[in-house]
Amino acid sequence: MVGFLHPRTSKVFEADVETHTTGEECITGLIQAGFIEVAPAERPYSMTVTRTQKQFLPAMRMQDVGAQAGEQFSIQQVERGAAR
Amino acid sequence: MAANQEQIQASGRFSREAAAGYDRRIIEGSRIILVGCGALGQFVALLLALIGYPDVVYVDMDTFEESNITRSPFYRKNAGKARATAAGAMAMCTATGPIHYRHTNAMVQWLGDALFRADKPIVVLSAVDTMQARWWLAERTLLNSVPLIEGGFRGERWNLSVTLNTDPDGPCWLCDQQHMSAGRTFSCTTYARAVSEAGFVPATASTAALLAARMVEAATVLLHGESELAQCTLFGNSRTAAMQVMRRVRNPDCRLDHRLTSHDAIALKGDPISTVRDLLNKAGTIVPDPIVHLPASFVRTAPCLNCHGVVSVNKPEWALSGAPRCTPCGGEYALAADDVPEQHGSLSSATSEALFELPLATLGIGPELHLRVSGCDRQAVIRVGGTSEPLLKTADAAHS
Repeated sequence: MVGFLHPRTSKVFEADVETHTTGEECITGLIQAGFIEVAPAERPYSMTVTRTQKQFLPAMRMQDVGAQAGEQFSIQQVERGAAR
Repeated sequence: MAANQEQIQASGRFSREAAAGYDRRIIEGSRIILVGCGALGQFVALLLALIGYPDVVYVDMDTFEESNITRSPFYRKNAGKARATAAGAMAMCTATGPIHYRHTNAMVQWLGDALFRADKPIVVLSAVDTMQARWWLAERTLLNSVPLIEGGFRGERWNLSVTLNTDPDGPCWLCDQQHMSAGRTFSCTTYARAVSEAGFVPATASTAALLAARMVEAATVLLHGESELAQCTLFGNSRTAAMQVMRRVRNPDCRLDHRLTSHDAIALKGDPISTVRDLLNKAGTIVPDPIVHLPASFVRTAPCLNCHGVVSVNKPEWALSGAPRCTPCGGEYALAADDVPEQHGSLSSATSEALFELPLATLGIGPELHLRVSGCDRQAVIRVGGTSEPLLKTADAAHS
Protein backbone atom coordinates (compact mmCIF):
# COMPACT_ATOMS: atom_id res chain seq x y z
CA MET A 1 0.00 0.00 0.00
CA VAL A 2 1.29 3.45 -0.95
CA GLY A 3 -0.26 6.91 -0.63
CA PHE A 4 -0.66 9.76 -3.12
CA LEU A 5 -0.91 13.30 -1.75
CA HIS A 6 -3.35 15.58 -3.59
CA PRO A 7 -1.71 18.60 -5.33
CA ARG A 8 -3.90 21.20 -3.60
CA THR A 9 -5.44 19.61 -0.51
CA SER A 10 -4.20 17.41 2.31
CA LYS A 11 -6.16 14.42 1.01
CA VAL A 12 -4.28 11.17 0.53
CA PHE A 13 -5.34 8.40 -1.85
CA GLU A 14 -4.13 4.98 -0.76
CA ALA A 15 -3.67 2.19 -3.26
CA ASP A 16 -2.05 -1.17 -3.75
CA VAL A 17 0.36 -0.91 -6.65
CA GLU A 18 2.78 -3.34 -8.25
CA THR A 19 6.50 -2.65 -8.29
CA HIS A 20 6.41 -2.44 -12.10
CA THR A 21 3.65 0.19 -12.14
CA THR A 22 4.80 3.35 -13.92
CA GLY A 23 4.31 6.96 -12.93
CA GLU A 24 2.02 7.49 -15.90
CA GLU A 25 -0.13 4.52 -14.87
CA CYS A 26 -0.40 5.96 -11.36
CA ILE A 27 -1.58 9.34 -12.69
CA THR A 28 -4.06 7.66 -15.06
CA GLY A 29 -5.41 5.54 -12.20
CA LEU A 30 -5.77 8.57 -9.91
CA ILE A 31 -7.71 10.40 -12.65
CA GLN A 32 -9.95 7.39 -13.26
CA ALA A 33 -10.59 7.14 -9.53
CA GLY A 34 -11.65 10.81 -9.51
CA PHE A 35 -8.89 11.79 -7.06
CA ILE A 36 -7.38 14.33 -9.48
CA GLU A 37 -8.75 15.89 -12.65
CA VAL A 38 -7.27 15.61 -16.15
CA ALA A 39 -4.38 18.10 -16.35
CA PRO A 40 -4.23 20.56 -19.23
CA ALA A 41 -1.29 19.95 -21.59
CA GLU A 42 0.61 23.04 -20.48
CA ARG A 43 0.30 22.21 -16.76
CA PRO A 44 1.15 18.52 -16.42
CA TYR A 45 1.45 16.67 -13.10
CA SER A 46 4.79 15.82 -11.59
CA MET A 47 5.31 13.21 -8.89
CA THR A 48 7.91 13.07 -6.14
CA VAL A 49 8.79 10.38 -3.61
CA THR A 50 8.17 12.49 -0.50
CA ARG A 51 10.74 10.66 1.62
CA THR A 52 13.66 10.99 -0.80
CA GLN A 53 12.49 14.06 -2.81
CA LYS A 54 13.33 12.06 -5.94
CA GLN A 55 11.32 12.72 -9.08
CA PHE A 56 9.04 9.92 -10.28
CA LEU A 57 8.94 10.38 -14.07
CA PRO A 58 5.96 9.05 -16.06
CA ALA A 59 8.03 6.29 -17.67
CA MET A 60 9.69 5.19 -14.41
CA ARG A 61 8.50 2.19 -12.46
CA MET A 62 7.87 2.06 -8.72
CA GLN A 63 10.98 -0.06 -8.28
CA ASP A 64 13.11 2.48 -10.19
CA VAL A 65 12.55 5.09 -7.47
CA GLY A 66 13.03 2.59 -4.64
CA ALA A 67 9.42 2.75 -3.50
CA GLN A 68 8.74 0.86 -0.28
CA ALA A 69 5.55 -0.28 1.42
CA GLY A 70 3.84 2.75 2.97
CA GLU A 71 5.66 5.14 0.63
CA GLN A 72 4.02 8.50 0.03
CA PHE A 73 4.09 10.31 -3.32
CA SER A 74 3.46 14.03 -3.67
CA ILE A 75 1.63 15.14 -6.80
CA GLN A 76 2.36 18.64 -8.05
CA GLN A 77 1.13 20.69 -10.92
CA VAL A 78 3.40 23.20 -12.63
CA GLU A 79 2.04 26.75 -12.70
CA ARG A 80 2.71 29.06 -15.63
CA GLY A 81 1.81 32.60 -14.65
CA ALA A 82 4.46 35.28 -14.23
CA ALA A 83 3.24 38.58 -15.54
CA ARG A 84 -0.50 38.89 -15.83
CA MET B 1 38.67 49.34 -8.83
CA ALA B 2 36.98 52.59 -9.81
CA ALA B 3 37.09 55.42 -7.29
CA ASN B 4 33.34 55.31 -6.88
CA GLN B 5 33.40 51.59 -6.08
CA GLU B 6 36.23 52.14 -3.58
CA GLN B 7 34.15 54.74 -1.78
CA ILE B 8 31.18 52.39 -1.65
CA GLN B 9 33.39 49.61 -0.32
CA ALA B 10 34.89 51.88 2.32
CA SER B 11 31.46 53.05 3.45
CA GLY B 12 30.53 49.53 4.50
CA ARG B 13 27.36 49.74 2.45
CA PHE B 14 27.35 46.04 1.67
CA SER B 15 28.59 44.89 5.09
CA ARG B 16 25.26 43.18 5.96
CA GLU B 17 25.24 41.28 2.69
CA ALA B 18 28.90 40.33 3.21
CA ALA B 19 28.03 39.00 6.66
CA ALA B 20 25.28 36.94 5.03
CA GLY B 21 27.84 35.43 2.64
CA TYR B 22 27.48 37.57 -0.49
CA ASP B 23 30.84 38.14 -2.16
CA ARG B 24 30.94 41.54 -3.94
CA ARG B 25 33.51 40.30 -6.46
CA ILE B 26 31.14 37.55 -7.56
CA ILE B 27 28.13 39.84 -7.77
CA GLU B 28 30.08 42.48 -9.67
CA GLY B 29 31.59 39.89 -11.99
CA SER B 30 28.30 38.29 -13.06
CA ARG B 31 25.55 39.01 -15.53
CA ILE B 32 21.86 38.39 -14.91
CA ILE B 33 19.50 38.09 -17.86
CA LEU B 34 15.95 38.74 -16.74
CA VAL B 35 13.42 37.62 -19.33
CA GLY B 36 9.92 38.86 -18.51
CA CYS B 37 9.35 42.11 -16.65
CA GLY B 38 5.76 41.62 -15.57
CA ALA B 39 4.61 41.16 -11.96
CA LEU B 40 7.25 38.54 -11.15
CA GLY B 41 10.02 40.15 -13.19
CA GLN B 42 9.61 43.55 -11.59
CA PHE B 43 10.00 42.16 -8.07
CA VAL B 44 13.07 40.29 -9.34
CA ALA B 45 14.44 43.53 -10.86
CA LEU B 46 13.95 45.38 -7.55
CA LEU B 47 15.87 42.75 -5.59
CA LEU B 48 18.70 42.58 -8.14
CA ALA B 49 19.06 46.35 -7.88
CA LEU B 50 19.09 46.32 -4.07
CA ILE B 51 21.67 43.54 -3.93
CA GLY B 52 23.74 45.64 -6.30
CA TYR B 53 24.03 43.50 -9.42
CA PRO B 54 25.67 45.93 -11.83
CA ASP B 55 25.16 44.03 -15.10
CA VAL B 56 21.56 43.12 -15.85
CA VAL B 57 19.77 42.62 -19.18
CA TYR B 58 16.00 43.20 -19.12
CA VAL B 59 13.92 41.60 -21.87
CA ASP B 60 10.17 42.03 -22.30
CA MET B 61 8.02 42.52 -25.40
CA ASP B 62 5.00 44.00 -23.63
CA THR B 63 3.78 47.35 -22.36
CA PHE B 64 2.00 48.23 -19.12
CA GLU B 65 -1.78 48.02 -19.02
CA GLU B 66 -4.07 49.12 -16.23
CA SER B 67 -4.80 45.51 -15.28
CA ASN B 68 -1.14 45.25 -14.20
CA ILE B 69 -1.48 47.88 -11.48
CA THR B 70 -2.13 45.63 -8.46
CA ARG B 71 0.83 43.38 -9.20
CA SER B 72 3.35 45.71 -10.80
CA PRO B 73 5.54 47.84 -8.52
CA PHE B 74 6.78 49.87 -11.50
CA TYR B 75 3.33 50.64 -12.93
CA ARG B 76 2.65 54.06 -11.37
CA LYS B 77 5.25 56.04 -13.28
CA ASN B 78 5.18 53.91 -16.40
CA ALA B 79 1.58 53.34 -17.49
CA GLY B 80 1.52 52.65 -21.20
CA LYS B 81 5.29 52.34 -21.41
CA ALA B 82 7.38 49.32 -22.38
CA ARG B 83 7.97 47.10 -19.36
CA ALA B 84 11.64 46.30 -20.06
CA THR B 85 12.44 50.01 -20.35
CA ALA B 86 10.56 50.69 -17.13
CA ALA B 87 12.29 47.84 -15.29
CA GLY B 88 15.71 49.20 -16.25
CA ALA B 89 14.84 52.78 -15.35
CA MET B 90 13.33 51.84 -11.99
CA ALA B 91 16.21 49.51 -11.20
CA MET B 92 18.54 52.42 -11.82
CA CYS B 93 16.63 54.47 -9.23
CA THR B 94 16.87 51.62 -6.72
CA ALA B 95 20.43 50.49 -7.49
CA THR B 96 22.79 50.46 -4.52
CA GLY B 97 25.95 50.67 -6.61
CA PRO B 98 27.18 51.45 -10.12
CA ILE B 99 24.90 49.90 -12.69
CA HIS B 100 25.28 49.20 -16.39
CA TYR B 101 22.10 47.76 -17.73
CA ARG B 102 20.69 46.87 -21.12
CA HIS B 103 17.11 46.39 -22.11
CA THR B 104 15.04 45.48 -25.12
CA ASN B 105 11.36 45.58 -25.90
CA ALA B 106 11.74 42.74 -28.41
CA MET B 107 10.83 39.11 -27.97
CA VAL B 108 13.77 37.19 -26.53
CA GLN B 109 13.99 34.99 -29.62
CA TRP B 110 15.10 37.92 -31.80
CA LEU B 111 18.28 38.22 -29.70
CA GLY B 112 19.53 34.83 -30.87
CA ASP B 113 22.24 33.05 -28.90
CA ALA B 114 24.33 36.22 -28.69
CA LEU B 115 22.34 37.01 -25.56
CA PHE B 116 23.90 34.03 -23.79
CA ARG B 117 27.51 34.75 -24.69
CA ALA B 118 29.72 36.71 -22.31
CA ASP B 119 33.16 36.60 -20.78
CA LYS B 120 31.64 36.29 -17.32
CA PRO B 121 29.24 33.91 -15.53
CA ILE B 122 25.61 34.30 -16.64
CA VAL B 123 22.37 33.24 -15.00
CA VAL B 124 19.08 33.48 -16.87
CA LEU B 125 16.02 34.28 -14.77
CA SER B 126 12.84 33.36 -16.62
CA ALA B 127 9.72 35.23 -15.52
CA VAL B 128 7.69 34.74 -18.68
CA ASP B 129 4.10 33.66 -19.21
CA THR B 130 4.16 32.01 -22.59
CA MET B 131 5.03 28.41 -23.27
CA GLN B 132 6.92 29.37 -26.43
CA ALA B 133 9.26 31.69 -24.55
CA ARG B 134 9.76 29.06 -21.83
CA TRP B 135 10.49 26.42 -24.47
CA TRP B 136 12.92 28.73 -26.26
CA LEU B 137 14.82 29.59 -23.08
CA ALA B 138 15.01 25.93 -22.07
CA GLU B 139 16.45 24.93 -25.43
CA ARG B 140 18.85 27.86 -25.83
CA THR B 141 20.22 27.78 -22.26
CA LEU B 142 20.83 24.04 -22.59
CA LEU B 143 22.66 24.51 -25.88
CA ASN B 144 24.72 27.38 -24.45
CA SER B 145 25.35 25.63 -21.09
CA VAL B 146 23.90 28.56 -19.16
CA PRO B 147 21.98 28.03 -15.88
CA LEU B 148 18.25 28.72 -16.04
CA ILE B 149 16.10 29.66 -13.05
CA GLU B 150 12.43 29.59 -13.99
CA GLY B 151 9.40 30.66 -12.00
CA GLY B 152 5.66 30.44 -12.44
CA PHE B 153 2.61 31.01 -10.25
CA ARG B 154 -1.14 30.90 -10.12
CA GLY B 155 -2.90 32.54 -7.23
CA GLU B 156 -1.11 31.44 -4.07
CA ARG B 157 0.66 28.50 -5.69
CA TRP B 158 4.13 28.90 -7.13
CA ASN B 159 6.95 26.79 -8.52
CA LEU B 160 10.61 27.43 -9.12
CA SER B 161 13.11 25.29 -11.00
CA VAL B 162 16.88 25.56 -11.04
CA THR B 163 18.51 23.91 -14.07
CA LEU B 164 22.30 23.92 -14.42
CA ASN B 165 22.49 22.89 -18.10
CA THR B 166 26.12 21.86 -17.66
CA ASP B 167 25.76 18.10 -17.24
CA PRO B 168 24.51 16.14 -20.29
CA ASP B 169 23.35 13.40 -17.92
CA GLY B 170 21.39 15.87 -15.81
CA PRO B 171 17.86 17.10 -16.44
CA CYS B 172 16.97 20.00 -18.68
CA TRP B 173 13.92 22.15 -18.06
CA LEU B 174 11.96 20.22 -20.71
CA CYS B 175 12.76 16.79 -19.26
CA ASP B 176 9.58 16.67 -17.21
CA GLN B 177 7.49 18.62 -19.72
CA GLN B 178 7.40 15.96 -22.42
CA HIS B 179 3.66 16.16 -23.04
CA MET B 180 3.79 19.91 -23.37
CA SER B 181 3.52 21.66 -26.71
CA ALA B 182 4.95 25.09 -27.22
CA GLY B 183 1.61 26.30 -28.52
CA ARG B 184 1.03 29.63 -30.10
CA THR B 185 2.55 32.78 -28.69
CA PHE B 186 0.40 35.50 -27.26
CA SER B 187 1.69 38.56 -25.50
CA CYS B 188 1.00 38.77 -21.78
CA THR B 189 -1.30 41.67 -22.49
CA THR B 190 -3.42 39.58 -24.86
CA TYR B 191 -3.48 36.76 -22.36
CA ALA B 192 -4.33 39.09 -19.47
CA ARG B 193 -7.33 40.42 -21.38
CA ALA B 194 -8.56 36.89 -22.06
CA VAL B 195 -8.28 35.75 -18.43
CA SER B 196 -9.82 39.02 -17.25
CA GLU B 197 -12.81 38.50 -19.53
CA ALA B 198 -13.13 34.99 -18.12
CA GLY B 199 -13.25 36.48 -14.60
CA PHE B 200 -10.16 34.56 -13.53
CA VAL B 201 -7.55 36.08 -11.20
CA PRO B 202 -4.38 34.08 -11.73
CA ALA B 203 -1.83 36.08 -9.75
CA THR B 204 -1.30 37.95 -6.50
CA ALA B 205 1.40 40.49 -5.70
CA SER B 206 2.40 38.66 -2.51
CA THR B 207 3.04 35.40 -4.36
CA ALA B 208 5.00 37.25 -7.04
CA ALA B 209 7.17 38.92 -4.39
CA LEU B 210 7.79 35.67 -2.54
CA LEU B 211 8.70 33.78 -5.70
CA ALA B 212 10.94 36.62 -6.90
CA ALA B 213 12.87 36.52 -3.62
CA ARG B 214 13.43 32.79 -3.98
CA MET B 215 14.55 33.16 -7.60
CA VAL B 216 17.06 35.93 -6.81
CA GLU B 217 18.46 34.05 -3.82
CA ALA B 218 18.76 30.90 -5.94
CA ALA B 219 20.67 32.84 -8.60
CA THR B 220 22.99 34.44 -6.06
CA VAL B 221 23.72 31.14 -4.35
CA LEU B 222 24.35 29.49 -7.71
CA LEU B 223 26.82 32.20 -8.73
CA HIS B 224 28.63 31.65 -5.44
CA GLY B 225 29.20 28.03 -6.45
CA GLU B 226 26.70 26.56 -4.03
CA SER B 227 24.00 24.43 -5.49
CA GLU B 228 21.65 23.09 -2.82
CA LEU B 229 18.71 23.66 -5.17
CA ALA B 230 20.51 22.72 -8.38
CA GLN B 231 18.41 20.47 -10.65
CA CYS B 232 15.47 20.87 -8.27
CA THR B 233 11.95 22.15 -8.68
CA LEU B 234 10.26 23.69 -5.66
CA PHE B 235 6.48 23.70 -5.41
CA GLY B 236 5.11 26.09 -2.81
CA ASN B 237 1.99 27.74 -1.49
CA SER B 238 2.33 31.29 -0.19
CA ARG B 239 -0.89 30.94 1.84
CA THR B 240 -0.24 27.69 3.66
CA ALA B 241 3.61 27.89 3.58
CA ALA B 242 3.65 24.29 2.32
CA MET B 243 6.63 23.45 0.14
CA GLN B 244 7.83 20.35 -1.66
CA VAL B 245 11.27 19.89 -3.18
CA MET B 246 11.57 17.66 -6.23
CA ARG B 247 15.06 16.50 -7.23
CA ARG B 248 14.76 16.20 -10.97
CA VAL B 249 16.37 13.51 -13.06
CA ARG B 250 17.13 13.33 -16.74
CA ASN B 251 14.31 11.96 -18.82
CA PRO B 252 15.80 9.41 -21.27
CA ASP B 253 12.95 10.26 -23.67
CA CYS B 254 13.67 14.01 -23.59
CA ARG B 255 13.09 15.68 -26.94
CA LEU B 256 16.21 17.83 -26.60
CA ASP B 257 19.68 16.51 -27.37
CA HIS B 258 21.63 17.10 -24.13
CA ARG B 259 24.97 16.36 -25.78
CA LEU B 260 24.62 19.02 -28.44
CA THR B 261 26.29 22.14 -27.09
CA SER B 262 27.64 25.40 -28.41
CA HIS B 263 31.16 24.26 -27.39
CA ASP B 264 31.24 22.05 -30.49
CA ALA B 265 29.82 24.69 -32.82
CA ILE B 266 31.58 25.60 -36.04
CA ALA B 267 31.50 29.34 -36.63
CA LEU B 268 30.69 30.28 -40.21
CA LYS B 269 33.48 32.55 -41.37
CA GLY B 270 34.07 34.60 -44.47
CA ASP B 271 31.51 36.81 -46.15
CA PRO B 272 28.52 37.80 -44.05
CA ILE B 273 25.58 35.42 -44.31
CA SER B 274 22.47 37.39 -44.98
CA THR B 275 20.12 35.08 -46.88
CA VAL B 276 18.95 31.48 -46.82
CA ARG B 277 20.99 30.86 -49.98
CA ASP B 278 24.17 32.10 -48.26
CA LEU B 279 23.43 29.91 -45.25
CA LEU B 280 22.92 26.75 -47.31
CA ASN B 281 26.06 27.44 -49.35
CA LYS B 282 28.14 27.91 -46.19
CA ALA B 283 26.61 24.92 -44.41
CA GLY B 284 27.42 22.85 -47.52
CA THR B 285 31.13 23.46 -46.92
CA ILE B 286 30.78 21.66 -43.58
CA VAL B 287 28.19 18.98 -44.32
CA PRO B 288 27.50 17.92 -47.94
CA ASP B 289 23.86 18.32 -49.05
CA PRO B 290 23.01 20.01 -45.76
CA ILE B 291 19.67 20.10 -44.05
CA VAL B 292 19.62 23.08 -41.68
CA HIS B 293 17.19 22.50 -38.84
CA LEU B 294 15.38 25.63 -37.67
CA PRO B 295 14.84 26.07 -33.93
CA ALA B 296 11.20 26.92 -34.66
CA SER B 297 9.08 26.44 -37.75
CA PHE B 298 8.90 29.23 -40.28
CA VAL B 299 5.33 29.89 -41.35
CA ARG B 300 5.19 31.23 -44.88
CA THR B 301 1.46 31.11 -45.49
CA ALA B 302 -1.65 30.04 -43.60
CA PRO B 303 -5.33 29.81 -44.51
CA CYS B 304 -7.71 32.53 -43.35
CA LEU B 305 -10.40 31.09 -41.10
CA ASN B 306 -12.90 33.60 -42.40
CA CYS B 307 -12.61 33.79 -46.21
CA HIS B 308 -10.42 30.67 -46.61
CA GLY B 309 -7.92 32.68 -48.69
CA VAL B 310 -4.19 32.14 -48.25
CA VAL B 311 -2.58 34.67 -45.92
CA SER B 312 1.07 35.56 -46.34
CA VAL B 313 2.62 35.23 -42.85
CA ASN B 314 6.44 35.05 -43.30
CA LYS B 315 7.27 34.79 -39.63
CA PRO B 316 8.78 32.22 -37.30
CA GLU B 317 6.16 30.35 -35.31
CA TRP B 318 7.00 32.15 -32.07
CA ALA B 319 6.39 35.59 -33.57
CA LEU B 320 2.74 35.02 -34.39
CA SER B 321 1.29 37.28 -31.70
CA GLY B 322 -2.13 37.63 -33.25
CA ALA B 323 -0.89 39.31 -36.46
CA PRO B 324 -0.93 39.44 -39.40
CA ARG B 325 -4.50 38.90 -40.44
CA CYS B 326 -5.97 38.27 -43.85
CA THR B 327 -5.68 41.51 -45.83
CA PRO B 328 -8.93 41.29 -47.81
CA CYS B 329 -11.26 40.34 -44.94
CA GLY B 330 -9.31 40.92 -41.70
CA GLY B 331 -10.00 37.36 -40.58
CA GLU B 332 -7.68 35.37 -38.35
CA TYR B 333 -5.57 32.64 -39.92
CA ALA B 334 -5.53 29.02 -38.84
CA LEU B 335 -2.44 27.38 -37.47
CA ALA B 336 -3.75 23.89 -36.87
CA ALA B 337 -1.08 21.56 -38.20
CA ASP B 338 -3.30 19.98 -40.85
CA ASP B 339 -4.33 23.31 -42.30
CA VAL B 340 -0.97 25.02 -42.69
CA PRO B 341 -0.11 24.85 -46.37
CA GLU B 342 3.47 26.06 -46.08
CA GLN B 343 5.45 25.71 -42.89
CA HIS B 344 9.18 24.93 -42.84
CA GLY B 345 11.01 23.18 -40.00
CA SER B 346 14.24 22.89 -41.96
CA LEU B 347 16.05 24.30 -44.98
CA SER B 348 17.74 22.36 -47.77
CA SER B 349 18.22 22.40 -51.52
CA ALA B 350 14.70 20.96 -51.75
CA THR B 351 13.25 24.02 -50.02
CA SER B 352 11.04 26.27 -52.09
CA GLU B 353 13.16 28.68 -54.16
CA ALA B 354 10.96 31.51 -52.91
CA LEU B 355 12.68 31.27 -49.53
CA PHE B 356 16.24 31.45 -50.82
CA GLU B 357 16.53 35.22 -50.89
CA LEU B 358 14.82 35.82 -47.56
CA PRO B 359 16.98 37.46 -44.89
CA LEU B 360 17.89 35.10 -42.04
CA ALA B 361 16.24 37.40 -39.49
CA THR B 362 12.89 36.90 -41.24
CA LEU B 363 13.15 33.20 -40.44
CA GLY B 364 13.91 33.99 -36.80
CA ILE B 365 17.61 33.18 -37.12
CA GLY B 366 18.94 35.75 -34.67
CA PRO B 367 22.53 36.83 -34.03
CA GLU B 368 25.02 34.07 -33.22
CA LEU B 369 22.25 31.49 -33.30
CA HIS B 370 23.41 27.88 -33.27
CA LEU B 371 21.80 25.63 -35.83
CA ARG B 372 21.91 21.88 -36.19
CA VAL B 373 22.95 20.71 -39.65
CA SER B 374 22.65 17.14 -40.89
CA GLY B 375 23.27 15.35 -44.15
CA CYS B 376 25.18 12.36 -45.58
CA ASP B 377 25.34 10.64 -42.18
CA ARG B 378 27.06 13.67 -40.70
CA GLN B 379 25.82 16.10 -38.11
CA ALA B 380 27.25 19.41 -36.93
CA VAL B 381 26.32 22.55 -35.05
CA ILE B 382 27.03 25.79 -36.87
CA ARG B 383 26.96 29.33 -35.57
CA VAL B 384 25.86 32.22 -37.72
CA GLY B 385 27.35 35.66 -37.10
CA GLY B 386 25.89 38.94 -35.97
CA THR B 387 25.34 40.65 -32.66
CA SER B 388 22.32 41.36 -30.50
CA GLU B 389 23.66 44.78 -29.53
CA PRO B 390 21.49 46.74 -32.03
CA LEU B 391 18.42 45.40 -30.25
CA LEU B 392 19.72 46.22 -26.78
CA LYS B 393 19.67 49.75 -25.43
CA THR B 394 22.29 50.59 -22.85
CA ALA B 395 22.30 52.80 -19.80
CA ASP B 396 24.87 53.47 -17.08
CA ALA B 397 24.68 55.13 -13.70
CA ALA B 398 27.23 55.65 -10.95
CA HIS B 399 25.54 55.93 -7.57
CA SER B 400 27.41 57.57 -4.79
